Amino acid sequence: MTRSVGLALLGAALVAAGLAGCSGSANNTSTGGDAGTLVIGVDNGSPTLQDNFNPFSANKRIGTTYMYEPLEFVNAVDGRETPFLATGHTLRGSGEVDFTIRTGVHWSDGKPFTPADVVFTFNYLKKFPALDSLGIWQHVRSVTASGDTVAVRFTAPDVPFTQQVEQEVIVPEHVWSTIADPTTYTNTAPVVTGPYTLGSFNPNQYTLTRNTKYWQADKVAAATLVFPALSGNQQSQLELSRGGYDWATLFIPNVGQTWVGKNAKDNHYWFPPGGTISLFLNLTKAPYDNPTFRQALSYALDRKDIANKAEDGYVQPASQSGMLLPNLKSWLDPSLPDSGVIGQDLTKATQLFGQAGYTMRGGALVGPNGQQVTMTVQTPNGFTDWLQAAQTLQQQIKSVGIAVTIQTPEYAAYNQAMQNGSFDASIASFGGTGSPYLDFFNTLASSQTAPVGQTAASNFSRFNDPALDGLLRQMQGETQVAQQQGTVHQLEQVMYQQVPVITLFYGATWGEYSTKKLTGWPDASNPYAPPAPYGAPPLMIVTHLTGA
Amino acid sequence: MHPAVRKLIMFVATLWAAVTVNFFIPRLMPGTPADAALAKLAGNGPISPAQKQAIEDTLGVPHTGLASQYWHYLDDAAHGRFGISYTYFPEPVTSLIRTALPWTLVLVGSATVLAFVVGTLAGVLAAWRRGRVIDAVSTVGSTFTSAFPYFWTALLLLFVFAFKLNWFPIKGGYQAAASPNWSASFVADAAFHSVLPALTILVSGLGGWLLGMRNNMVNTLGEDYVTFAEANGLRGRTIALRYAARNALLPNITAFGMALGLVVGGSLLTEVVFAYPGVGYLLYNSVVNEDFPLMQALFLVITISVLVANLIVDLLYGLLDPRSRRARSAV
Repeated sequence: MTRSVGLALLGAALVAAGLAGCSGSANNTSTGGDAGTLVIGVDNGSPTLQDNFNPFSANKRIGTTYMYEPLEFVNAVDGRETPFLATGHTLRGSGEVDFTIRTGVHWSDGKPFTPADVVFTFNYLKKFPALDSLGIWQHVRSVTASGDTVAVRFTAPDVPFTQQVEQEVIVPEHVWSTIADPTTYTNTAPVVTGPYTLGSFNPNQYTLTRNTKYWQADKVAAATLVFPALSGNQQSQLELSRGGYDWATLFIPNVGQTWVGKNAKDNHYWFPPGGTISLFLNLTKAPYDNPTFRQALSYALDRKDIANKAEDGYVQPASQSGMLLPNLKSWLDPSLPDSGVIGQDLTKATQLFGQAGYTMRGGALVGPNGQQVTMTVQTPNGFTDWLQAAQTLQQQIKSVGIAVTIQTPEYAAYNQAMQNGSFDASIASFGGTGSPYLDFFNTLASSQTAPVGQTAASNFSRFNDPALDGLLRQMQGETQVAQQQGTVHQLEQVMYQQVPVITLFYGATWGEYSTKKLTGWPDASNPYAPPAPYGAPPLMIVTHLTGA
Repeated sequence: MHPAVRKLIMFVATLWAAVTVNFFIPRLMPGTPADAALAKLAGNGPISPAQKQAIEDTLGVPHTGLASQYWHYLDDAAHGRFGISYTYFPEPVTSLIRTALPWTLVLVGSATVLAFVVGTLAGVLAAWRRGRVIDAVSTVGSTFTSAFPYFWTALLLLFVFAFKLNWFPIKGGYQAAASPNWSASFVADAAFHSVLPALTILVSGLGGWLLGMRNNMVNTLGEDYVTFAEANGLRGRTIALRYAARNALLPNITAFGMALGLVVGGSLLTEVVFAYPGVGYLLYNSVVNEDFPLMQALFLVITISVLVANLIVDLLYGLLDPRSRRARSAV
């Protein structure tokens, strides 16, 4: 009896397998071999997809960003702007910026796009602060239209904030004005100005189709974009490896073999820096409150080794200037040696530790209190590359006599410790906005921090330096690039000499793409956008691709 | 007091305790749901303070005291109001569970029943033929398979049959371009997608049932009434199934009741490995993302179904085991 049940089972499995053999559908996620169809591996299902195309929602489908457009695109690689719904902007002093709104643009339902839509969108964010993820109304006093011009007035001189205003996506007044609660609205039939409109939606996959009314429709080569639901890194890596995606954003080990090696002619990758992975120290605690100690710690690290072990050799050691290199090299202070990248120098480290009052005794670094220096480094659970960095760092500073313990709490607990200041040291990332001002402001401005026990907005190391705050304030009023550069150089000097954050290496923006169907992807020689299939870069990329 | 009434009172008390624990445990976790929402975004680069503020405003994370939250929670739970999920914002919790539950019930339910039936019968056979080749093979084999971690079996099946041999799909409950419906092609596709996950549950579950049944059976076979039946010249098959197995089955039935109750919770690791759109995956996501409304609703559903399954087994026991019937009338 047992045997017959077993056979029946086996039979059922075989029949099922046979069915699959006929349909041949086991692994096919694309909708066809059409050269104009791109399969994009970026949207994570959990495990299926929720139908949400609300551009203001944190849970929106990633495809939403292929449909709505901002006033201008800001390239996070180098901060350069490309106009979209505005044709350009002019500064009126340091307290107002005037955008010239593009004419002849239509919404995908045929209605004309007007400056009134722009004004409506900004005021909508004021009415519903939950939608204001760029924090527009913390800096802006009023937004008004006159003819083709929209004037944005700041509450105080705030030139660098222009770049945030530019990035706000614009929605149609005739659709959104009637929505009662835009925070829970799922916008399943988006009316847009962008290159694509929503094609079909299924819980496992959705498609976007070319917007025939797009104002630069002649520049859009791919007729259809397919977004299959991803689930877990392993499955996505296997799928990429066997050619299931034309464009993806995955950390994949040994990319030369697992991706390029499969088809060296068409498979390419570009992993430009997208943020600075650093060791954030709690500056309210001894010995981290001592700048000399921090400098010494910085000299004890072999950043090249950390970068190679953490990211498989894909990324470079970071400059202590705080500048994301090579992206922001035009802002770099030329007086900094080696572009500000600090190499390991144990003699110098020991000497600086000595100056700070710490000496080596029997293999242990002993402080003024007679105790060995210990450090607890936290990194979020599941961030395996950061953990690898922490472990390499642990080995390296063991040699200068500091005992390091690594903790891997869940992200929520990790983040809470950062915000409340209840940590010694954290592996964390900063920067990557393309704007040196914003990178410094978020990471080091005293307005962005809070006493230990209270929630800090983004200055988690709790750096507090009136001189730095003064430089940032000064930069808000500067309208000329030459002036701004001078100030940024001074900010870099603060970062380099006081070491409020110890930079480690540049975290990459992962971008794997195939030139089999379309060419014109961004790369190191033509960095017009980061290669990310999420956020704002897709608008640039889909309007740059051409037939292969 | 009638034992059934006593059992019902116990049931209600346990339910209240479970519901209360269910409320407090998630709130002991560090961090807030907004942190978890940020964790997802952190993968794409640093997050600005404004983004964080916007997310907190959107989720409307509760700021009232625990006592008032608890009272509202009891009230809502009694009325089946579970609110909006944080993870899948703005989708209501009830609609998420309603979508996921059928997948789990069919996959895990049928695999559990199958594992129980096959395992128990194999256990009977192994015990009846104890010491022979079939006993050695099945006992050693199931000790081996039940020692495999669940997810390891899942990963192994995934790697061999889905990736290397390409026989089965790598993930999901159905084909990418399809939407769930009742057409024959969709059902066939869904069945095909469920083969590997079902096999995982079967392989990991089978051994336990087999070993349990075999050991009970071996004990029962040593009883006097079995020897008596043999001496009377009854057929071997009759003795094995009608005398020994019926008595040996009772502990397995209890365990089966519990297993059926747990079916609702899904097979977490299997569903995660295969990205199966069931309750297990939902539960995993709700915990990882500190999705209080979803977590509470799921734990509540699981708790209630385990308790109900237990109650039913308890009540059934009287029917199945004459000894417990006698014990009851003596009370």
